[in-house]
Amino acid sequence: MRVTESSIASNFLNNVNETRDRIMHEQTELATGKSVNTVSDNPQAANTILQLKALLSNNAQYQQNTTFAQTQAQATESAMNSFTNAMISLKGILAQATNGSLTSADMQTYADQIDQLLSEGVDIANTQSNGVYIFGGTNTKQQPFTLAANNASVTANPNGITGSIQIPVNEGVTQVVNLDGQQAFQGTAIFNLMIQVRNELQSGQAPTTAEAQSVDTYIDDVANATGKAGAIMQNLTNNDTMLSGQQTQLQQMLSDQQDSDIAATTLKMNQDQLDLQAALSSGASVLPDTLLNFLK
Amino acid sequence: MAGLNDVLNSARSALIAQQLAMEVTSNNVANANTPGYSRERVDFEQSQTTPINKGLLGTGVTASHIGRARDRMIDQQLWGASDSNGKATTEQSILSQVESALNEPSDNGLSEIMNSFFSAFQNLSAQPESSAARNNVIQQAQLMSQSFHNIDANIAQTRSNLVTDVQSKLDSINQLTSDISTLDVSIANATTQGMDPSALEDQRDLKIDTLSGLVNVNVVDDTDGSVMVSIGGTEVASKAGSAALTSSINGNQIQIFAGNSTAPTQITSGQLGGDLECYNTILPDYSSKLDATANALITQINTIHSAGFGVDTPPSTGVNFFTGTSATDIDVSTDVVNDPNKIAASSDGSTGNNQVALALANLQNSAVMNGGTETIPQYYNSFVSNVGADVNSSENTSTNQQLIVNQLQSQRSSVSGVSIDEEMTNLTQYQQAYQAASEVVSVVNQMMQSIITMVQ
Repeated sequence: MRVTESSIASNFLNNVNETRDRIMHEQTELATGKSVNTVSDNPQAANTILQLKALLSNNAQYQQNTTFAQTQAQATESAMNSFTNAMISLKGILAQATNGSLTSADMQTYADQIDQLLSEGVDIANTQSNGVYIFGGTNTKQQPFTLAANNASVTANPNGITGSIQIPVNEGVTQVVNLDGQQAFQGTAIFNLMIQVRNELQSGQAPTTAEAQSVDTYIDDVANATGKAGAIMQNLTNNDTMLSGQQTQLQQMLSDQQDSDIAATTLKMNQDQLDLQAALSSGASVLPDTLLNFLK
Repeated sequence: MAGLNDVLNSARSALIAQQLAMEVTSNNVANANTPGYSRERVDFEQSQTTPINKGLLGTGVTASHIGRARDRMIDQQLWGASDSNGKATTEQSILSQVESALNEPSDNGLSEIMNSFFSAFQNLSAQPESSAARNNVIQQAQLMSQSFHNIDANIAQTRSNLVTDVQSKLDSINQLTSDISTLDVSIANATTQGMDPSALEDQRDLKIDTLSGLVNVNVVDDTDGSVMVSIGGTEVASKAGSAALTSSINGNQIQIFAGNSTAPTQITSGQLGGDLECYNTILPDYSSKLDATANALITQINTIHSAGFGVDTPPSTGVNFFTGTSATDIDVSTDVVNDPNKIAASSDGSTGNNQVALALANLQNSAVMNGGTETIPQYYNSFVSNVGADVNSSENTSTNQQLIVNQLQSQRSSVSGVSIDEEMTNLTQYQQAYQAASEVVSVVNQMMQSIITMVQ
């Protein structure tokens, strides 16, 4: 084949350009640490990357939701524990009040103690966490229980104190994070019993056995509800662990897709740099050679 | 009987022929780097012989023909490969503008912004009472709308830039076809008058080289050395004249017309072909996919949202979250922006109810696009990888076609290019022949002197 100087020159330039292009890509890969810098680098991998990023973004939000739900569940659990203590005190008072003869002064003391427990109980039932009433069902901005003047009666929010609050905590999973007023305190039933017993004591009448039995039943109910709050807390903690695990796994998958293999890329770039140097040095020695150099 | 004069004559013809050959060599060397130049060759031929009693006697040498070394088949192949290369390169540069506007995969791309938008609804579902969560929803929604606007505007801008680009390419094409036509007339005249049209042919072929990168051309050679150039089956340049291409925008499409023809010319390739395909097909397709994404978000979110209740008093319902219908005009409704409490998270009006916020967040995972096979983010992501695949394939085509063009150019250069080595070798040969012929003249001169002396 007939080879002309311009063939050699353009062939040399094309090859050098191609090698420089490869080096540029490898350098970008090393500089960003990513093998997929634009979608066109690898459209399929880019699609997977976008989907993994969506999953990671959701995972972050689920973790945030779980942390928030944990503070609410924590508040619920500790409120329920306090309420259980109040109920146990009530049971103790009733045991003493039903047992043996009491002076009217004793009765008044017990009545005052129960009155104290009543306002304490209603306060607990109106607990707020993060600005919402945790026992209000879905009516979270309205106080669920109202104590009338002189603790005469307790009324529940007429708009309702029921409804469960479900928070998304994982892909397709929602967790009920609240106990509503009905579940936690049997509506106003427990408070009404307290008022009834207090009123009886104030009027000099000892509480009945039936009333004491009712208190026992309510203690069981409250214990059940407290158990539920504990279970919610447990679920959320488990979920949190699961989410962290998933996050690690997703990040690993994302890294597999988009991160550059630094060692391999460096090796390839060294190889290409060697090629470039060889091309340049051979070009420099071949390009100026013509017959002209030897004609005298 | 041949005399000394005949010897002088044949030496003279040798001097003239070698000198001519050296002129051609000198011209070849001078044009070694001229684009489009084809090296020229001199064909030597023995002059007419005269019969003498001993046989036929030569009378010297003549340069019978000066012609350019050119392989027409390589030319045709090169013109065919140049237009595909032009098209792929143009499409790659246009589409990568869109690709870089999409800015994926990154933390600032629309895909990630959409994730944050849905996360904001999830966050709202966890704390439907929180005004921070509500403001966050509005902020993310505004960010997302803005991102839709930006991408949409970028595609529209890229597309409208093509109108001027097409016009400037048409201007170049028209200039080229008119030049080709003028050159063809001169070539045909030169051929008829028996002159060498090589230089003109080189100029014309160089123009066809440029033209073939711009548009798909078909070139047919005529016997007189002129050519007939046609684009998409319509003749645009020949020695009979040239037909200018004009464009007109018809129903959102750019159409190209040749001369006075009323039927549009089919431009399928070349840089112009790439421009047209992007303007007429690819970019509108991108816009419509982006619009479909925005529209699905608007209608789906609004349907769920308007059925829910806000936390204002009394709880408002029937409020649309988004306004607009496409990527161009998607926006958060002013009702919601002015009063974040109007964002409907609740299905019954109670503040802690989060069913609507949940449903809005879940929209991220419900297959509502493409006949119920893809979610909205999936639809958008496939659009993104679609753009990437287009850029990638035009990049690959352009690389492959460039290789073919390089290969053909090197073949052409092998035939038509000037080799300094070769020219120097020729020059040495011509020089030696010239010196030898001069020597003959000087010997004949001495012989003549001898004869004259003898006569005196």
